[in-house]
Amino acid sequence: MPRSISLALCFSLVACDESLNGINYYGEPLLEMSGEVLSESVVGALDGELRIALLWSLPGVVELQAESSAELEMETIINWSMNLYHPPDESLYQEQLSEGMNTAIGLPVLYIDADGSQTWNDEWILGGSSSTFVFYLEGELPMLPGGAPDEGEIPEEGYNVVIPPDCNALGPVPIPRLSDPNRVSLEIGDLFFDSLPDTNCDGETNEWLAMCEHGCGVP
Amino acid sequence: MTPLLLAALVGSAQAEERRYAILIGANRGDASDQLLKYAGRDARRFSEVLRTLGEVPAGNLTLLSDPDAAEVREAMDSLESRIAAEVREQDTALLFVYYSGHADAADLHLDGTRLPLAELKRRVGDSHADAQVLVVDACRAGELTRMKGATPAEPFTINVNTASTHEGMAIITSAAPGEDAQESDRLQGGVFTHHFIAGLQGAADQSGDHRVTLREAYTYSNDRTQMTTSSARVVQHPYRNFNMTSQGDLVVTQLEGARRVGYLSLPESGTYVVFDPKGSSLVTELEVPSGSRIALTEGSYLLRKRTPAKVYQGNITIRQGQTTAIQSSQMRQLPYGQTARRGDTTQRHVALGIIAGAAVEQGLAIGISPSLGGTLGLRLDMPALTLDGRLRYATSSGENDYLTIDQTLLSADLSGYRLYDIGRFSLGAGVRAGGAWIEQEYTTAGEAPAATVLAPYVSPLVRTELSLTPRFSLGLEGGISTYFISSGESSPPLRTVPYAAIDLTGFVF
Repeated sequence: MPRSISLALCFSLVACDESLNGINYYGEPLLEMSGEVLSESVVGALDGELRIALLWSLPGVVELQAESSAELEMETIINWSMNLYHPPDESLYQEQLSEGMNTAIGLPVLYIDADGSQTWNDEWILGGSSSTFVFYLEGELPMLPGGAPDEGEIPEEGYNVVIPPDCNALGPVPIPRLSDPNRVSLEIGDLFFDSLPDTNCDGETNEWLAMCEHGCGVP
Repeated sequence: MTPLLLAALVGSAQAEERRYAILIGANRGDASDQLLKYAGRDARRFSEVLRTLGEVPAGNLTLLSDPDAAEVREAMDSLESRIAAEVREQDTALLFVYYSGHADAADLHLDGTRLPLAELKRRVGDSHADAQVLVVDACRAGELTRMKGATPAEPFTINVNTASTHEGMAIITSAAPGEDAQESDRLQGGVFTHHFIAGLQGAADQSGDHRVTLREAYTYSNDRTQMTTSSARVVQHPYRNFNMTSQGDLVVTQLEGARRVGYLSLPESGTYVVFDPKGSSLVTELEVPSGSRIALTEGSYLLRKRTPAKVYQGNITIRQGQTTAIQSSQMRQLPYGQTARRGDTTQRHVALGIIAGAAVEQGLAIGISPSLGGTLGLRLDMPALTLDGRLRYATSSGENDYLTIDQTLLSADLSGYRLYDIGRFSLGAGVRAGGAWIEQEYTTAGEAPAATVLAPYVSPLVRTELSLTPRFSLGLEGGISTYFISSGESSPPLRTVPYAAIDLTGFVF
């Protein structure tokens, strides 16, 4: 039936432009990210489906928890997009740095889904983002010395795509800075592993060491 | 020869009443006249009544079907010759002449030819029979109850020659001068002739003496014809002109002792309709007082009794010389819905019911479970159509790794369908249309605001019902609903899903 006729039939009704949702509806995305994958030629030569996971960092934990808890779309090998629909589980929260403030830190990584399960289960990590990561905030950020930070520069409650904090300008806690826009570039191999972000300004990147337990780099 | 034997021989030459009849059924009139359906059948039925109950021997009956004027003249001349030859001086002869067909104020219309009414009147009046009864049921094409009619010529009135040498002539016409006469598909015959025959079969026996006189038959058929045609465009008033000098009223039919005839006794007053055993062919319809007795040819029949709001049905068997009595308590009350659809009751022609049931319908979006819910509504059964309006409440759900979907549907719709009754079962088809309010609520750790949609829908349907009792019917319905709604960005604004429903109807009246 032509759309004009169906709209005419809906003339007196409300919300004719809305639709019913099926089980392919996940809710409103809490975070929408997109980006590109560098080193195209390497990606094209690999076996297995490439997928993206959000690798959650837990301080003091030997193994990293990771979940591909998102809907992602690899339009081409170069461009990708990913939405997050759930907040992280409380078990993924970082050690509370300030009363009333809970945070979680996740790193987008590119992995090879060798078993075709379309979910992360200790896969080989090919690469990821060395310059931006996902910062989840619950509660309020503490006041920094020198007054309130400028709006638009600090994360808001919920999901944020951020760049590592300026470790020379520390306050009570290291505060990452917003990445603008939510574009994330993923690097393959050494471009990524040699430049992992120091998210807690401890001068080390050992918060990500466990990610390579099942293989890292270009195989 | 002894005087005793001579006296016996003299006594054997007693006067006899001899009866003769000519019955004419003419479906075909002038070329411009609409073809009638029941004129021939009327004549055959009348001849059967005269033969079985009217003491007219089969050899004295002349039945003409679609004759022309010449054939009618020839038949009348032939019968007159027989009457003249057979009727002795001491005998009494009675002649019945019956015509059903087209006419106008001047002529009978006989298969493209004309027979002037004046000639018909003269031939009947000049008959050697002592008494003549002329019954004319004229016809013209019309609507469902066809109009049998007079053209705008002079009013059709048969005058009686009071100076006749015979005992006299009685004339009965089915309509007053200038009025139209009607056929009825429901009665399967001319309205007047149907009631006249029913009267002769016993419905007109007001005196209860098991004999039906000409006046009784006329009185009954006059009343019933006016009542039957009161709902049509024109009320029909039978007309008569009796000029008989015989003592007492002329007895037309004897309800006792007829061959192959039995009797139906009706202790309760009411309107009764007699059908063949399958209920497809109407034998007679009559309205009688309590204690009536009707003569019927032996055999099996389906009998219905119609009241203002109910219809009762039963099977009867008529045996020669025996009386079969039947009351409402011995008959089965027909379901209210079927009664309304048949239009059988005498006053109330609709049935109103309350419907309650359940329905299941395929999910309206991908992965959503079939919705299950209840329905409540009202229903109106009419002869041509059944209408029902319903409210429905249904729920369904779905889930994925991110959220759970709980869907609630509330709808209102109206349907129209046609049901055909086969015994206790009914089958039909129709269409249902309405609108639905649909809400989806989501349970999720993330964010998913509830969604509300209004969607019209239309559903062709098929339906079957079983009458459990006269008041209660169980129905099963299935159809395919098309909702004007989108279930995804990439899908067209239509969603077509099958459904099935079961319901119980309780008729209020």
